[in-house]
Amino acid sequence: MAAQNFLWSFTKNCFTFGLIGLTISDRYASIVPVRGSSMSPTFNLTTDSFMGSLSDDYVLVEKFCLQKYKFSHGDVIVFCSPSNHKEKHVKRIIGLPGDWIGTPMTNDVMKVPNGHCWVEGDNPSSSLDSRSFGPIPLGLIKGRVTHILWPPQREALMIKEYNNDLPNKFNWDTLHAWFDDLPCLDNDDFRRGKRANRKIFGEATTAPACQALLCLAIEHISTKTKNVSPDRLLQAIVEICSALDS
Amino acid sequence: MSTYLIGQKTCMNCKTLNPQLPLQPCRCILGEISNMAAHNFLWSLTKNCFTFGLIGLTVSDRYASIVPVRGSSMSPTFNPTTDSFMGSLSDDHVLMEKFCLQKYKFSHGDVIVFCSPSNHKEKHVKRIIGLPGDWIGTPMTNDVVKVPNGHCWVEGDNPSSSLDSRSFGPIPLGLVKGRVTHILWPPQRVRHVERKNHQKRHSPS
Repeated sequence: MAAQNFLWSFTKNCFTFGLIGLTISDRYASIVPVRGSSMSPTFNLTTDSFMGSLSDDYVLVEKFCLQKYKFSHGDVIVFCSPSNHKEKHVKRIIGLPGDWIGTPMTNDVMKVPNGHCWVEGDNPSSSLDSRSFGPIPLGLIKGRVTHILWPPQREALMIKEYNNDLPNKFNWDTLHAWFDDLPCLDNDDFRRGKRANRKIFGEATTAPACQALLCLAIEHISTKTKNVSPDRLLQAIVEICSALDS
Repeated sequence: MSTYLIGQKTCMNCKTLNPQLPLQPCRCILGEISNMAAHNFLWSLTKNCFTFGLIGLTVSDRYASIVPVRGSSMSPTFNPTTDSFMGSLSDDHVLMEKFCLQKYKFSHGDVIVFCSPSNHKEKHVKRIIGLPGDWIGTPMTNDVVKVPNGHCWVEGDNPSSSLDSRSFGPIPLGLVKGRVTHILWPPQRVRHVERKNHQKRHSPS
């Protein structure tokens, strides 16, 4: 009878802990593997076809953001694919409702509709994201990735480094727009439905203001970015300057 | 438990003289036993409540839950009378099952609950009119739309006061949260929710 009691209480404990684990996994946090290289170098730095799924990164996905509905630019999220609801994808939020996103390929600017977000992978060359299927409804989001848990040698807080770089992305678009509207380039009177800055303030004010802002932006990136190694920061600045040159 | 010796009249536990010893246990012992029993009872009651609460939560998240339906976009299937005096008391409460999500089975005419594509905090209840690959005719614009892969076309049973796919287009199937099978409240309207096919509106691929 003692053995039966022990077995019964053991079964009950297993059942209770299983239930607790299931509830936590559904509502608060779970661990998922990341396949593919669309988020290199953040996840899956090397695609090792020999090792296969053993070399995939395992990440912690938290779901508190769903209950409080807090999403920010630069968050890495897990969402159901809009073209196949059985698949889940991992990408980074680039735009929130109301943001204007520039698509370099079509030279188009589009506004992210209410209740949607624009997602892109960190590895643009091999990433199927909003540039293909457009903005996705926020209701498709299943969680937010906060840490890499496996393999142990990867830095656990790597995600945050890229988060800090992202807010700077929008400054470049605005500066580029101000420069392009000058008479020597596009000579536009309107930008996004409003009068261009050069029309309101005059070229003599706009051009030096743009140049000053460019320098301020580079200073901002250098001094305010946290948790990023100096070489990576320098590399980012070099790439931005060479993009501005072209 | 042998806190008294045969023949002694003083309890060894609380050190008081008790003439009833050794035939009956001292009151201090009885008090401890009843405390422990109450303590055990309270503890097991808490554990049971916690376990049942957890089971209820898991079932509600994964298998089935009961939700109220607001608005008249699905009249006469739900809320056939809009009674502004009674307010939310007269809403239909329906049983929403989530097995369809795990097996990914959706059919024409199913009534589903989904997150609104324009505001992810709201949920809507509508009927599936078209599945991926179907052609939907919109009478207003005289246009024919093909439902893309992974999407579905939803419409309310009361077209005049329904905000559905005719306004926001086909919705991704990933937004679907469950399928409505029965009306549970009010008691006079308890019934199974039937599938209704609108054969004239859609043509399968």
